[in-house]
Amino acid sequence: MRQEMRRGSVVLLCLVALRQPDYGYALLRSLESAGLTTDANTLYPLLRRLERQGLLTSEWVTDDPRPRKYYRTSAAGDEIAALLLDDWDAMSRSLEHFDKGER
Amino acid sequence: MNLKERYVAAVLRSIPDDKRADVDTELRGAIDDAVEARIDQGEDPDLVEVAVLTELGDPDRLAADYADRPLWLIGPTFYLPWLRVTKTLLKVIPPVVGVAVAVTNYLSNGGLLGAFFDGMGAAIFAALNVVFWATLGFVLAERSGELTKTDIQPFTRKWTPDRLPTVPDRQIGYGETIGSLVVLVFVILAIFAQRSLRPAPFFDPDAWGLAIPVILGLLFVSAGFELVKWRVGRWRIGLASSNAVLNIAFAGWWLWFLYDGSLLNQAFFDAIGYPTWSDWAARASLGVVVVNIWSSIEGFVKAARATRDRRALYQPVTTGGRADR
Repeated sequence: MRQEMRRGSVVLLCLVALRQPDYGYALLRSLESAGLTTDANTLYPLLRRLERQGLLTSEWVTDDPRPRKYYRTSAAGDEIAALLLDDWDAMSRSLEHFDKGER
Repeated sequence: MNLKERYVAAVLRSIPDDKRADVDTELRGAIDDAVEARIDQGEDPDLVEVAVLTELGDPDRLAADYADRPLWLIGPTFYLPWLRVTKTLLKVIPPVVGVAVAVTNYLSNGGLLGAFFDGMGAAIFAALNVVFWATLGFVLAERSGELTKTDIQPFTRKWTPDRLPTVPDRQIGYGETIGSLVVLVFVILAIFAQRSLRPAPFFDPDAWGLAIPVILGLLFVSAGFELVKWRVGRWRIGLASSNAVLNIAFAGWWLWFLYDGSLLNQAFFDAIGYPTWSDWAARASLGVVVVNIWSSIEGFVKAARATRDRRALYQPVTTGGRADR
């Protein structure tokens, strides 16, 4: 169940985190240090899927030590992220109510 | 070729050509980054690569996720349509094929048992084909990008309550009972009437000693049973069992008295120019047995169906009520 919840929120996480461009592994590590551990074999295909859906843009940066594919949230991605964040806030507030026993 | 190369190759194997180079570079980079980070954290360099690749997991799965390919044959959208279509086809096609093959085989070869087994074989073969081709059709539908839910509307249209199956008030209908009773009366009358058949009666006159009284008795019991069935209204295990016993009695009566020689009138067969009627008798007997077996099975099948429908309609007991008795 915890996995399900994480799976549900990882898209929003990426869209928000990638307002600052980053590459796969670095994103993985920053999510980890924020306490939001994700699997590599989930994240990489997900980034690719979001790019295919137009929510992310990508750019190859051929610096050392190795070429890296940097992803960044697109304008469309930003719009979706805003929507999802609103939903998230609304849910968070409802949860608080329920948690406190209010209805 | 080291482990990393083999892994990347395994993943790239099922990646489409236009994406291959991109995935190749990114995946290698990802593996190298992970290995580097783990070594920096002090892990054993010899074990690190294995650990990273293990974490990345089955390359086929990774490739499928990369290419957004479904890792199932038939997904949630198409599962119920597939199930319904397959069930419907299985109810129709194998029986038709089986009967057709059995009949044509019999007409050309004349052997009853051979025809039966050929028919069975053909029916089984037809059933396997039905399942295969129906499944294949839906697997293709699942994978076809162009076929959306709306394209195959008739199968996946949104469910509405008018698609609920009807549950009739009574499983054993009035028409069924009346029809059976009429047939029974007709048969009883026919048995009496055939005495005056010219040139010869069908049943051996001596049969009136034992065989005919027995069958008349069975027919009256049958009539009574029809009334009991009507009264109960639906099939139950008890009814189905009694039905089976009655069927056995009928079949037994036929086989016993036929092969006893005391049932059918030789004079009748002489008169219609068919003096050696033993092979006709064999065919007729097979028919009698098959019909009775079918009827018995049908009874149990209907009983099972009635139980299942009844459970679905069962009203849960509400609180209160009998508690104050």
